[in-house]
Amino acid sequence: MAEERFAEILRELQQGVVEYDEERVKKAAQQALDEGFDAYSAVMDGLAAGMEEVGKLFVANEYFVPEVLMCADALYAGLTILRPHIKVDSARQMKGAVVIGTVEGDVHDIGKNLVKLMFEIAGFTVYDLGRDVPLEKFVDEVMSTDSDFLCMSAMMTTTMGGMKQVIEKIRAKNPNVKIMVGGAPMTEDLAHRWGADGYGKDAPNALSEALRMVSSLREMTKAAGN
Amino acid sequence: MGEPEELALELTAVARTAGADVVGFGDVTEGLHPEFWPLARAVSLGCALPVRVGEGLAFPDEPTVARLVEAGRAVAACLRRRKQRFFVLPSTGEGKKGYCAALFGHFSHKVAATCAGLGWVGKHGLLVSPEFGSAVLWGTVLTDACLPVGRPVRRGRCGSCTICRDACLPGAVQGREWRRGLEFGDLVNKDGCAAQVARLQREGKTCCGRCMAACPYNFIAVHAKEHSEGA
Repeated sequence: MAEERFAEILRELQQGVVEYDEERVKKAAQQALDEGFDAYSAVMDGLAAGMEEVGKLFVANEYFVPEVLMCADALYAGLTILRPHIKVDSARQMKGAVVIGTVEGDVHDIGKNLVKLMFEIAGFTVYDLGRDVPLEKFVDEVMSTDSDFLCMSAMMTTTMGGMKQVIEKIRAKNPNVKIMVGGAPMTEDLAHRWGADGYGKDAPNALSEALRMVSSLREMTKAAGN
Repeated sequence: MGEPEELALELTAVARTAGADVVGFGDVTEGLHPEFWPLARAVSLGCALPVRVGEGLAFPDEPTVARLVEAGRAVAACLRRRKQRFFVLPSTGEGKKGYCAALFGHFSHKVAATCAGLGWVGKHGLLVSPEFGSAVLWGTVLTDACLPVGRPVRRGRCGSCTICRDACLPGAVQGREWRRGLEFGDLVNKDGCAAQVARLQREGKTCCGRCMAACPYNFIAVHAKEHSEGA
């Protein structure tokens, strides 16, 4: 009975995210807490599962950027309610830290914000440096926070070269940091030549990448839980 | 009556019930930022700010902002029921938060209102509604729904009036009549205006609003209201 009820709440969370209905998501999130269900499952199997569906709609050109952003806002409204109630042990498997920002001279940050949200959902500690970040700041922040991941993006050819310098400096100090780069002027080839581990092509593709991460993170947590 | 007309009536009714004073529909295809495609129809919503002759203007006035937020929500809910796409752009007085905020800078409520035929851009760079004057808060809901659109206003109708220019302490209002294509910076010296606002904010005031408060159309609206209430 309780299982059926929880499945119902999860469906509400998913549908609320897909249909970018903030009020519906908030209500379902509160119900999950009030009725004593696990907040972590509500986030991963409700909110994140909904965002996974949004990713499919986006790739299929059913949804455009405005819709995806509204879905993200709905998801965030639910996350704000649920996050304080996530039990530490259920999130333990995904502990880690990530530094994220757009490089100096660049003020476009739609994709970056989505990627950030995905890391937050997965339980990472996120150090968001914002947009227009000086190159040295990336290096300093990764080192001082001992982060596992660095995500950088640039939307302009004039600013993307900065990412190469940051990768070189970080690799020299700590070769184990996973580095993701993104932005319209980047190519996969260039990302690999510069020594990045991950790559998201342009704003829509960075969104797809971010949305794809939901699936892989959910799979990783499931595997870790078993 | 066709479906677009029915939807327009329904949207107008829900927006007015929620507190909007002006509701109109515009075709905003021209110059629309590509991120918003295919949301090329605008539902323009206006809520009149309280103006009392001699007492000036409250801006941004919280109850007015709240009405506009409700009107936007009501329009969005109606479009959702009708399975239409939409995107809500908040008013000036509302906090701009969340992921959606990344797109807010790419659209101006003035475009929606002028395309809907609800008013023109005055010499002070603010919208002027012939009904409610300059003292109006505006909001927009973009949609791809098929709607009967208003006749766009392409030119200012301030004529020889320069009261807002004369009211501007730093002389930022240039006194130039608007036409489509002219931007805020062509009508108002942005730096002069911003410096004056910053000065007032240091004194603890939230805004300047002298040009907005001086617009004679505000008082036409006030008198019309008093007249109808007295009758």
